[in-house]
Amino acid sequence: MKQTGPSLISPPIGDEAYKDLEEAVGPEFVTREPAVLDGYAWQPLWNEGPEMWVHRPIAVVLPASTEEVQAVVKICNKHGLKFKAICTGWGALAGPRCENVVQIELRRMDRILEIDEKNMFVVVEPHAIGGQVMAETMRKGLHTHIVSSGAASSPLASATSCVGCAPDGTYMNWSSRNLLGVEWVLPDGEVIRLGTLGSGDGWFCGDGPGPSLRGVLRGRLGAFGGNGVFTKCALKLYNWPGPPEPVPEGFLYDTELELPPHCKAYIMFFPDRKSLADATQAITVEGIGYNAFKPGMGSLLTMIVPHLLHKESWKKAKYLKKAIQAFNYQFLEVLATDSAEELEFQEAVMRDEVSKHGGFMMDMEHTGMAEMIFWTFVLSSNYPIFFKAAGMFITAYGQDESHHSMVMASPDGEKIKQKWIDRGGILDDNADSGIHFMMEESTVSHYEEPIEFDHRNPDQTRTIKPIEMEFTHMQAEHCMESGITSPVMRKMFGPTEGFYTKWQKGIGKIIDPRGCADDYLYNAEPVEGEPLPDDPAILEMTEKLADIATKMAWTEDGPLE
Amino acid sequence: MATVAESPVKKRLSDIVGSQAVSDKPDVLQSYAGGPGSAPRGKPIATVRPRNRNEVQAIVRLANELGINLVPASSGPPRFRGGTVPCEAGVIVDLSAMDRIVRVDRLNMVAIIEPGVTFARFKAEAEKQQLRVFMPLLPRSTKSALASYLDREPITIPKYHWDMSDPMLTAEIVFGEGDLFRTGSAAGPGSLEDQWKMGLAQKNPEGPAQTSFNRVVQGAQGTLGIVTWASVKLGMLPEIKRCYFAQDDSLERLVDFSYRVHRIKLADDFLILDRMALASALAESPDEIRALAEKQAPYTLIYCVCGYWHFPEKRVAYQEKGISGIAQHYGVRLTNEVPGAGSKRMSEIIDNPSSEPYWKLRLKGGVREVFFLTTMDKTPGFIKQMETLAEERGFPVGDIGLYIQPVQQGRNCHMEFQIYYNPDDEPETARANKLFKEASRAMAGSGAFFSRPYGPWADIAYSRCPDTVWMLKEIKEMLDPNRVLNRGKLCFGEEI
Ligand SMILES: Cc1cc2nc3c(=O)[nH]c(=O)nc-3n(C[C@H](O)[C@H](O)[C@H](O)COP(=O)(O)OP(=O)(O)OC[C@H]3O[C@@H](n4cnc5c(N)ncnc54)[C@H](O)[C@@H]3O)c2cc1C
Repeated sequence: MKQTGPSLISPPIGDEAYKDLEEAVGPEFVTREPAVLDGYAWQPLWNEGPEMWVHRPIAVVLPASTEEVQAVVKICNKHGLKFKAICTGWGALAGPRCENVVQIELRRMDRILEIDEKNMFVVVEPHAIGGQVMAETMRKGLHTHIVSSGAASSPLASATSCVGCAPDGTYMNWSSRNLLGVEWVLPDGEVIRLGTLGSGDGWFCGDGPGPSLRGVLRGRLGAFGGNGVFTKCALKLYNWPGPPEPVPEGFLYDTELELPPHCKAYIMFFPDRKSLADATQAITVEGIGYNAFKPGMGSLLTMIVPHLLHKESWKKAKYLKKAIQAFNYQFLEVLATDSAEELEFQEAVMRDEVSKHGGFMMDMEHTGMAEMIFWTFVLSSNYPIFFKAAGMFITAYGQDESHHSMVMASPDGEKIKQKWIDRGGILDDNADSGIHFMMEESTVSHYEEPIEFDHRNPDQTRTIKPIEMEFTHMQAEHCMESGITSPVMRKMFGPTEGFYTKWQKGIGKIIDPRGCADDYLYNAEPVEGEPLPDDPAILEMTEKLADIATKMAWTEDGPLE
Repeated sequence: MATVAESPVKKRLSDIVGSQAVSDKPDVLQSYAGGPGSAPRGKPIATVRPRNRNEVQAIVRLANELGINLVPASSGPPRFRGGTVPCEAGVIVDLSAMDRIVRVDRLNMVAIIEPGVTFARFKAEAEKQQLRVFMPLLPRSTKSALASYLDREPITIPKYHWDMSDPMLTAEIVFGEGDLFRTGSAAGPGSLEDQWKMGLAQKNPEGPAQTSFNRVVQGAQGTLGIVTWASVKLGMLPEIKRCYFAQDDSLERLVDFSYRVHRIKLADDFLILDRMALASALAESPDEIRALAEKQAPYTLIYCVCGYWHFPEKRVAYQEKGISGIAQHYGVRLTNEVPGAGSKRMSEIIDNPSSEPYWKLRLKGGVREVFFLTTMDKTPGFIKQMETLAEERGFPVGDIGLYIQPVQQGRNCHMEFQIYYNPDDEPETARANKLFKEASRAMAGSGAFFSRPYGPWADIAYSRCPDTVWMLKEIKEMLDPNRVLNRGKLCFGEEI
């Protein structure tokens, strides 16, 4: 396993800069203690390929207010240092990705500033975590969208900076679409407030006057800390028809908690992928579901029986695997409605589509699992269990477009996975773990392939990069944008997506004239002259990717028609 | 840089689009003049009607070469917000000849439309596939659907207005130096046809990557790019649609009712009109309007419940029951008719563009609108403010209409005062203009957010957000460095 080595350790922060930081936030809230810094550099999740470490930050500071964040960013500008925000910190996306980075740790900014019950929004600081927001808003009959990293992650981070999709999106939308007013410390230390907030009119709208700067702030992905620090934002809230204070007993899958009135959990099974796509599209456009989710059978196994997947007998269980695969065209619906009649309507629609498509559905109450399914989804509490089966995972593909394009792409994903399972490169989860869920009823659907691996096993970690590359190739073949944002990938695939990097970099120059933000995941150019890896699988894929990127590159007149 | 007058503009434009698509006839130019109160600071010197995006690109490049100011226009007349009135002498790029409905995709409930597609045509085409076009309230018959969406005009169904950008999804844009770009999932890889083959449908509005330039060009009044097509969301065409009313003396009561109905997403169309605005929507002649207005309660809430493709009766039944429970709780009385309209007629009216004359012009021939965003709970305060101002300025309160349109699923609302006046009566016009200006300024001071800052609102709105202005100017510099796109509009004039 690669340790943090000289290439990832910057020269120590200068005393003058350090003293400035101490003055800005107080000496007890800044450190350059190597052991603590290494805690921030150990980032195996969402890291690149087999890497376990990111660059060690030169200092960690914990500001408590917007003013302190500004002061820290200005100090970085003054001393020619970089900075990067870390919030709930579920992975390497928040870690320093270059030298000389001051890590801005936001855990002291954890307040819920306002819940506007009537106008259905909440104003949060970065480290107000999903669970905390949920607990407060549920008391008022409201709920908020939380991504699948779960209730321990930051809704602000997702909304401003980092992807933002989840199965609750069918009812509660995805993070980028839930953003209202925003307070944003730019990489030069100045603050900008978006929408109504910037005009002193409160938090209720993030767009205008005139053009909306939300489109500068983020896109499908976020800037991953590369465009400043978001210190406050207002997020949309949605109706919550359940109890104001659910008090569960037990833990995760053993949770005991009653189903609220007019709430249910159903699982539907379809004979094939096409019926699954057709039926679930028809169901979700009718606005059915509080959470709507196509789990992969493989993903379920990794959560429920993680040890089984490591057994020799599992590898050989050809028929069992086939039998399990037969159940993969399934779809889970968590219903939370406001009346018996609404519930009855939602059930009727599901039943109708299931029967039209030759499927069957199960009321989870008949299995004894309804409460568990309902509450783990509604409270977003189960997701981190994903680490259990192999220790680490990545998700490949990660795309959002029409439901059919997502569902019908999954066999290609399964093929790639199966190949690497056969080579022993990743955990054998039966390769059928592709998941789908929707945004705004069914405006957009999501597809991702979770890939589990043991990050302590070099035979597995070395496969991750080629797998990611294969999936990127598949994305291009399916006319989907590249999901990975690294300097090399942006350079390669920018031309296939309208040379977007030109405009994105233009924005970078406006907001960060001195290049103070760690923008590795946003705008940075690849380092020239980096030696090519010696792994033949990577070399082969590099060539293939370059080929397809060249073929699909835009000309001056647009994409090749 | 050559000035427009010195350069052979007309000839060079004709080289691009053909001479029949270029005009400098005074009557043609006059039709872009914009209407009441939009005192032109510059005049159109010619119009050019491109037929495709290559021509648009060539026009933009020519404008860069010759230093021409380009003012994009998509809708037909009458125009009264001054959107197409140049701040400096300029060429109107009239996009109405780009009027293809490129695609209506039933499965994915999405369409691609060019700027010249009017709501009437779009609706007819979508309905052939049982799909519903999301419309603003009673758009004029010549209104471009794309221009309306690009302007973030509110649609009448808050439930499907998830985000301010709705129902627009992706777009093709020609930026200020002629560069082509596509937003969201339309950016690529692949052409539209390639993407369709893979089942994609230009549905993801976010992106590409870490920007969303569709949001940036929305609300930009053509100052940052010319949009040559957009993909937009469609809804299911209802199998059953029932329209209901609640008339009340108390707006507060209707506001409370509205909050609850939206929270549970029970209604489809949902809006509030005062008696004058309602009568103007229902009747045609001024006398009829006045007579009908007399019969109405001060405020009328109009909402529809719909059943779609599965068990429409069941859906309608639970929604009706839910709404009547809420009405009972708040003491709101629901009816299925108001003077002048029953459920069916109202439903037909709000499902279609305005008949002629345009509804806001029916009473007196002219209208000054004051519209902005606020939250529903603040609407009664703004009404008081307008009434006080009108009384103080001697403008008849009865000649002011009101329209409140919840947006973003009821989280906030478009509030619109319609100041009706007779354009042939100079003193009255002056009074209307004065009230318009004073009310706009006063309301901005009370928290009215002029998110679509036309004309004088630009100064009002942008003087309140210097940081936003700074960033917008930088973005303008990047996308349109030679300032060929609708020069001087928004905060891009010299004075801010
Ligand atoms: C099991 C699991 C499942 C997941 N599933 C999903 C999923 O379904 N959908 C999805 O969208 N994501 C998913 N994720 C990833 C998830 O998006 C992020 O982990 C989460 O959204 C952000 O929380 P975080 O703790 O990672 O934040 P951090 O790691 O602290 O931040 C994430 C990024 O945002 C930046 N950032 C954070 N706060 C700020 C700020 N205030 N200002 C500027 N930049 C900031 C950071 O620099 C970093 O780049 C999953 C993660 C896990 C562990």
